[in-house]
Amino acid sequence: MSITAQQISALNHTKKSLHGRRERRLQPVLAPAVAAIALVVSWSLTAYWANSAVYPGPLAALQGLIDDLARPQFRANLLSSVSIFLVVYLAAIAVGVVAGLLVGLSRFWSKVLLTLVHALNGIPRVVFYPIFLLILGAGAPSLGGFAFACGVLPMFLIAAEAVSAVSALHLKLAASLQLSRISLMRKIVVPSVTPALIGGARVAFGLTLVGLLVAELFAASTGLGAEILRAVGQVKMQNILGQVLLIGALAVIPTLILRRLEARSTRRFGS
Amino acid sequence: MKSVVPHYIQRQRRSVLGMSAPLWSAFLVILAIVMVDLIARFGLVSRLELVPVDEFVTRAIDLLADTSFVRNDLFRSLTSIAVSFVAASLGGIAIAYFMTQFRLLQEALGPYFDLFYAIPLFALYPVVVVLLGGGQLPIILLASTFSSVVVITNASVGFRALPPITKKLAVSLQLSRLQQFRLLLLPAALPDILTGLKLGMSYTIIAVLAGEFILSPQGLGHAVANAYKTFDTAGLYAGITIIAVFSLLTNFALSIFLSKFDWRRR
Repeated sequence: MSITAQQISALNHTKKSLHGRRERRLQPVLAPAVAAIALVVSWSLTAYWANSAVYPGPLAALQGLIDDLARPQFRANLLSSVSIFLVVYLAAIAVGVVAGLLVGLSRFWSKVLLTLVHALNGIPRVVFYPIFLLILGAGAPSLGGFAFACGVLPMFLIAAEAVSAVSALHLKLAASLQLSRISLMRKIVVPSVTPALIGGARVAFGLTLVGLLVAELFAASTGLGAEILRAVGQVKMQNILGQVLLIGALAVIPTLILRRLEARSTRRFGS
Repeated sequence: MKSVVPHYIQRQRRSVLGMSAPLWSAFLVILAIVMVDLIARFGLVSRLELVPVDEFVTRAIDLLADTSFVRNDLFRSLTSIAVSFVAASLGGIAIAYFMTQFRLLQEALGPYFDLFYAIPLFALYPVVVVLLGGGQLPIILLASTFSSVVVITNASVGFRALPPITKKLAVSLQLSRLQQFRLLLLPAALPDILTGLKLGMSYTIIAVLAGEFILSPQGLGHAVANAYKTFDTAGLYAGITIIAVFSLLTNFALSIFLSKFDWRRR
């Protein structure tokens, strides 16, 4: 009996993984941490050497953020951005999921609509923002409306594609068991689309936030975008960088949580 | 008689009301354009909010014949897009290659690339403008960074999908690193790289136009923002039309061109 090269490689692989188990458990945490530390250190060093008011180091940026957070005006703007974001994000998820599920169930209509939405998705959304401004007026309605549009499209696409990817075999099983429409949704469709929907919620989170910030940078007198613009006008680099750090944290922490949830639901329901 | 087979496992309908799916898509687009035109023409909204379709389409054609628009806005955006796309593609493929060669690099950077698109990079735009001034450089820098990550993630998927047996083949044939890259890695990863490049183009266009829109004195994005700020509604819709047609055509043409190299589709 001969042993194939693939089997040899598989054997080698198991041997190696037994050997490197301890190293492997540490590395996924250690390597990114080292990269982060390297980034912060090189930022500090270059800032120290540049010794320039327009290029502050990480500590100065943090100080800028702390100073900003002490201002009631800044806290009000932060609150305004966060509250618009939360309302609009939840609405985008709800509308995107429901519309996606409805359209995805019909293969014909998903073909018709997904082509259009995919094409629309490839056009830079930001240039549509003036239309929102013209029709909804400056302020929360146009900010929220635009951010909603930025979030709802990807959520709709992901939900519709997730539904059309439900295994045909499972659907046939449901048909043989004569499941009612409600049990079909509850037992087959919802579990199999849950991981994709959480993934969609994660993608929509980032895009809604980008939409809101870009809109605020363009035409708002309130919100985090307006704060950044004011700091830019006064060339207060440490405040700008501090605010960028804050926005990064606001974006990354929920994304990490949603990623966790996504992994957990994939383990539970399969991918 | 109604079929006993539930509708969700029946065969896909070929047509609805005698129209196929592509025909329905075209119909919906035309319907939307006609609706916009009617709303504007019959004064349901003010002329400041919307103008009839023929007005802004004529305006778009006029703009494309206007040398100052072509030179200052269109050409500028096109060069920014071209330079950023080439930089993002070459840089992205190179970084993905090094990440596959050195596992440590992959483990150190991979998690950050996964998170990259959650971060609103445009928040950094003002920082880059303060550091580098208001020309094309900050836009190219941000756009190529923004789009390189999608090239990196797709190319690394392709590079990693190479069957381990080919590495042993490379050792047996005593291939140099360059030969390994040219003869094994690149052809094997090509379909994934092409997917990355298509997405990269679409991301580049988005980033360049958004950058110009927010804080640039020139470019297509600026032309739209400026039309809004000067209450030039026809100019605004003309600019949006030019950008929409341009990005649809570019993405479509690039996708057809790149698919020619995709051996999975042959």
